[in-house]
Amino acid sequence: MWLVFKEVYLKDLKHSFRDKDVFIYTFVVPALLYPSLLVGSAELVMFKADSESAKSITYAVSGPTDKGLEQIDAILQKRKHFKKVETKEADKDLADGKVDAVLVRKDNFIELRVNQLLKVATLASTINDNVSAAYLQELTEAFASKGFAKENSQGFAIVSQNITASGNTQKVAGSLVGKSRLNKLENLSPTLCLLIFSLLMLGLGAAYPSIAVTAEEFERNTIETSCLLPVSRSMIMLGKVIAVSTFAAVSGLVNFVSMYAVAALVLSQAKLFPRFTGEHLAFNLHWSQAIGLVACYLLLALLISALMIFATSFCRTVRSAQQWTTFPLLIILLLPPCALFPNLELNYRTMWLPILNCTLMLKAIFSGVPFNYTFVVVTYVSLAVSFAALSLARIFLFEQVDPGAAFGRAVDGLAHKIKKKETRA
Amino acid sequence: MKLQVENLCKRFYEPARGEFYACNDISFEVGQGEIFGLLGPNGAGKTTTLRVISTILKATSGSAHLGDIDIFKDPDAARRAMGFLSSSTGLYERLTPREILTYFGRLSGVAEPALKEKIESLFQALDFKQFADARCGKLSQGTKQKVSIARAIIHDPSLMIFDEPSTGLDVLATQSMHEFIKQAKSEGKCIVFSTHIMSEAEKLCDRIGVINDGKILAQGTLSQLRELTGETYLEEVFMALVRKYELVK
Amino acid sequence: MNWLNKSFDFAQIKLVFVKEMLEGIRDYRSLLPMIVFSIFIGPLFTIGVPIIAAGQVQHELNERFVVAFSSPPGPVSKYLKGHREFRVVELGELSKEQALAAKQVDAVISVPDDFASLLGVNKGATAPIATLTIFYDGKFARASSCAARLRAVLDYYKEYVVTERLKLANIGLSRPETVYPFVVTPVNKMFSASPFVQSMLVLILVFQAFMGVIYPSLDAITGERERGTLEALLSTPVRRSHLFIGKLAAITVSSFAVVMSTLAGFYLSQFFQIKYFSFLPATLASQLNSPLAVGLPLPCVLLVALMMLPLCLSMAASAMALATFARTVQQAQAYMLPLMLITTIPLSVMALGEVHLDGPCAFVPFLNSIVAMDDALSGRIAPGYMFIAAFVSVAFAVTLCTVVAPVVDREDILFGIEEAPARRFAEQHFGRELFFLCSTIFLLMFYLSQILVLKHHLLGMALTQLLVILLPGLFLSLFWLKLPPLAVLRLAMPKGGILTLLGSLMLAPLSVLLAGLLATLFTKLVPGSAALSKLMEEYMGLNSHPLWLLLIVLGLMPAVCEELLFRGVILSLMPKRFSTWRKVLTVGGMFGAFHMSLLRFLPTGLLGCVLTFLAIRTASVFPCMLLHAGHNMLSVFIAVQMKEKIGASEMVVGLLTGLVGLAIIIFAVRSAEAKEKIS
Repeated sequence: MWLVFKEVYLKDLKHSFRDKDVFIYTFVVPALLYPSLLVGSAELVMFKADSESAKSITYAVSGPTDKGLEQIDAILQKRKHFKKVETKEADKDLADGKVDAVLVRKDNFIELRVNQLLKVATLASTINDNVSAAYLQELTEAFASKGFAKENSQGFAIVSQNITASGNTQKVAGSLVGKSRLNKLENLSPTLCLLIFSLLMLGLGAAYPSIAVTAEEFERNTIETSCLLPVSRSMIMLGKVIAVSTFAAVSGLVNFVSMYAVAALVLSQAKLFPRFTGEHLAFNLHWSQAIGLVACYLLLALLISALMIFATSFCRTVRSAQQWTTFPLLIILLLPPCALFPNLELNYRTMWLPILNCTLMLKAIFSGVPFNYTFVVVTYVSLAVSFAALSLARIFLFEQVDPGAAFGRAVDGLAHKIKKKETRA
Repeated sequence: MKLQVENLCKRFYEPARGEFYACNDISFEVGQGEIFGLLGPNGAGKTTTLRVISTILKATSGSAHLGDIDIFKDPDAARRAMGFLSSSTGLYERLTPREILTYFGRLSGVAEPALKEKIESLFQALDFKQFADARCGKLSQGTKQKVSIARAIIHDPSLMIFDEPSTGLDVLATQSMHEFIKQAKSEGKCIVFSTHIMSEAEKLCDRIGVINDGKILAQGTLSQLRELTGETYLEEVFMALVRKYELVK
Repeated sequence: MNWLNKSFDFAQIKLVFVKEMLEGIRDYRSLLPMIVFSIFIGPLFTIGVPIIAAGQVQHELNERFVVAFSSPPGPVSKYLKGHREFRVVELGELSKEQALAAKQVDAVISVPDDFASLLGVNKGATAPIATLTIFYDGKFARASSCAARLRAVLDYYKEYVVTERLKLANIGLSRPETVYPFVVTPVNKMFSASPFVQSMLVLILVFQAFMGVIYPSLDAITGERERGTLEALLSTPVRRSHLFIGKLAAITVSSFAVVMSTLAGFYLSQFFQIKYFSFLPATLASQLNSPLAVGLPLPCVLLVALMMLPLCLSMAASAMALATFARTVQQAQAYMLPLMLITTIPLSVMALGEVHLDGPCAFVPFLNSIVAMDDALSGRIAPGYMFIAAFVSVAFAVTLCTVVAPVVDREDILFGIEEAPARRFAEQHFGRELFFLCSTIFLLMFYLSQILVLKHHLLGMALTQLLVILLPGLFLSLFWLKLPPLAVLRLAMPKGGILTLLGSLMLAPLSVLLAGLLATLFTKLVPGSAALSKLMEEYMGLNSHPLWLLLIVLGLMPAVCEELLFRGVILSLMPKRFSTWRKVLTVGGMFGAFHMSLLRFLPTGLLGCVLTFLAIRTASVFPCMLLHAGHNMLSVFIAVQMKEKIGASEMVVGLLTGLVGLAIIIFAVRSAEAKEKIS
């Protein structure tokens, strides 16, 4: 029993790795790709940052004004990064790029009209920050001139302290006036992002081997020999899926390591990206967390490989199988990144959704949530889904069930009828 | 037109095996209206020899001429004048035989009205008219082979090169294929084909080249070969030649 | 048009095209996911994203955080009670760490004892500032969002405190209002898409074009090879380039079909918009709805479709070119990975902002179409440049096809036939070894040498020269390939002897002058390049080391090591069939790329070309070493000692010295060659 599994596993692994070329494109291409992507792009970022800081923001005031709007206008005019522009047709000038933003008085607030989605947040906060800073300055001077301590202008101070178990205590000082800038994305570690992004590479890595163990067997007619073997078909399926997931996990990890190394190097050159430092990539994992992460990653590899095998099992040619891998690939492209939503956590509801639950478990382990019942449920759900997918795949592979062919026949029949009508006419 | 192959060599390299010659100093001639058979076991270098002659592989050394055409120097002209069927050639699974023949006919420069006639006549000659509009993916092995043969000679080439054409054909189909080759011979074509089946070579070939380990051990008409070895049946002739070669080696 | 007909047999191309299309269309199983799937992408995004956003907002509205105080709360508790989203509880027996870890509370606020007393107006020169501390457990998403909300609320409290103080101190200042952003829907409604569509349509379309290109191109080239049909095709007299162009057309159509169905999905989804934020007050709802509105007018769709066609074409051509070099479909699939990088261009265009189709941009394949689409979506239409972009793409695709077409005949790819390494080396075919050497050096440069330079600065640079540049090349050529050292490294007296060496050294001022001119030109053209060169100077530590050390490490060592690698090993491994010019351009280009900088590519590449030419003409590496060393040392010297601008007189001296040097070299080499001829 065990021997059969081992044989199938080794055969499929060897079959996928038979050429030395395979090593080149599973290891060398990713290792070369990410660094080469970076060459030059760091420079571009610098050019951009430099030209941004040199450029001033143009703004216009449109419609009736009042005291509040005039106050802001006066402050902005004093700041050297802002330039006021006179405009008659504000929205048209906005569209033409003659002016970056237009201030308009509304009933109970001041509206900042912008036409580019990407600029919205930054422009508003830049203006608000500038106005706040100017106001703070004014306040401090006012208190001082009346003989009070100038610290009066600051109200009080707020410090946020993250007491997370891994020990990287973060202290973030609050802003002095106005809205605070601390975002809730702080538990969005870049390392976790890379890990989740590498799942896509894992999926891509699983795609070809799974075609090789399903559709390609039909194309090369080796499936017949597999059918004739006097061994349990479940064992064959198990061997196949483990081989595919080995390949997938390896290619996912290779990509992750390459991306991580590149990111670490870039961030360590802190001068290029002042807002990030190498510390943002620090792991600080306990050994139990590391084991949990690896286990979770392997579980995901198994699940994704099983889905891939399922999606390709009802194809009879490599070509169609390639197209059908798009479905699982799209799921892998869309679902795992959802785990990065700050409010999405592993709980009694989310633990039932396959793939997402596993990714959430990855996130939970990564951020140090202690072992609890949800982990067990997630493991069982993932195994159950893999089992179901593989069972279906087994039927499509070995029991001569071919849903694709039925569809093809229907279309062919239709085409035939149309042709007949044409010839009659 | 006459095919002349002189001192043809093709060198391969495999890390496991090192360097070796798949064809080693091969020379032969095929006249107009003649059938030349390359007879040899699997891996003897038949396919490589034929591939080199049909310009798909580049010769390491040697020359080949088809009439006035230097095959290696002017491959385009040579391709126009020859039809090649290799043992590993596939078919487009989602096209029908008629579409495939039309495609290759036009690519080889056959003009329209003549092409249609030619296709019909090939359907008749090779006897697969009833499958003309079915997808190739659904055809039997034998019919596929017939389509491949038809594909190779759609442009009426003066040199026909067949690499093991009877693979996958049943007795009846083989028979009609043989008839077809004889017919082509009577039309004055040069025909080179390779086989590992003795009876086929015996029945069909005007001259036979026995090939083993990349070398032509002997060539001539069947009677010449019989004289050379003193054996009667081709099978024994072949065995005697191979044995002699092994001894020399 | 006559020459066009002469160079292309359109009947043949059409034949190949029709066959490929027929084969593609008959493959229902692949067609179904390809087309149907793409239609749903538009609705998925345009409906899905707002739903997620609305869900997030609603979630935040309904969420109630549990907060506790670790010390007497004082006035803070009273303030928090006015905010419904916080529920204040007692910590009880638990310590704050325990309560946080057990998720009993989301955050704990620590209030200093004298907090209340510090809230009034403080007189005197300086006054202590009270500090509130919020403790939370960052590994729980809920806890960190609670902390963020607390901060926001407490910030308002802080403002209230300041306002109270202003009243007490009788200061008539009031806080300026906050501005709220609003995304304007475009004025020209017929020709521009809404900001939401603008921000993601191009990205998705380019990705779809890529997806539409991969499998057909794998199938049309590598698939045919694997199935043995390519062999049959190759035995026909069809022109290889025609075969390629026909297939290219079919793949382009397939990719375009995917793009069009995606576009159709986006177009249709604008008619099914829902007001997602109806649970909010009207002004707030419109403020949130406006950035998510989907608007994609028909003229815009047509224009985008028009620009997608050249993009699909260049994408298809590149995919085919990559697939041509693969023996198996699996291999080909991996080769597509670099092409995937093209799908990131829209992202970088977006990130850079203000990139428009004009000038040089219109002549870069891929980039031109992407930028054109981006422009078209925002209602900016430049027909002339769009035409140029389309023309460039077509020319790019056809050229690529013609260049790559002969590769299908290569027997190493077709049948896996190789030459024995010994024979390959004898015939100067070192392609594989060169690739290996270059990737090793690249990886070492990227990982090892960056770390070395960051940690050890000047010592790191010296180590880089020895370990990363010199060692791999020497190892490959001398120990692995066992080539004769003197010949490979060109360690020979140059043609023209001492005179040539002298001339090379005298050439250095001229090359420094030219490099300086190029650099000034660049600073004018590219904003930010000045900052970059300043950064590089800092890395090199020009100001913190003695001059002699700088001259050795930055001047002499690179000259020796890099010359031995590029003009020695790499130049010797170039294929024999390359002409001198091709060698000069290749080695020069590699030399430029090796410096891993966009900005410095042109000057270093040019210098590399000159050095390579010198090495070939004089048949020695020594003149190159001298020129290179002279160039580097002079640059270092100028950077350290002559901070002020170099005057005209220095320039003239440099120019003259260089010209004299050039004349000496030409004279020496020519006369040496003449002597050779006679003997």
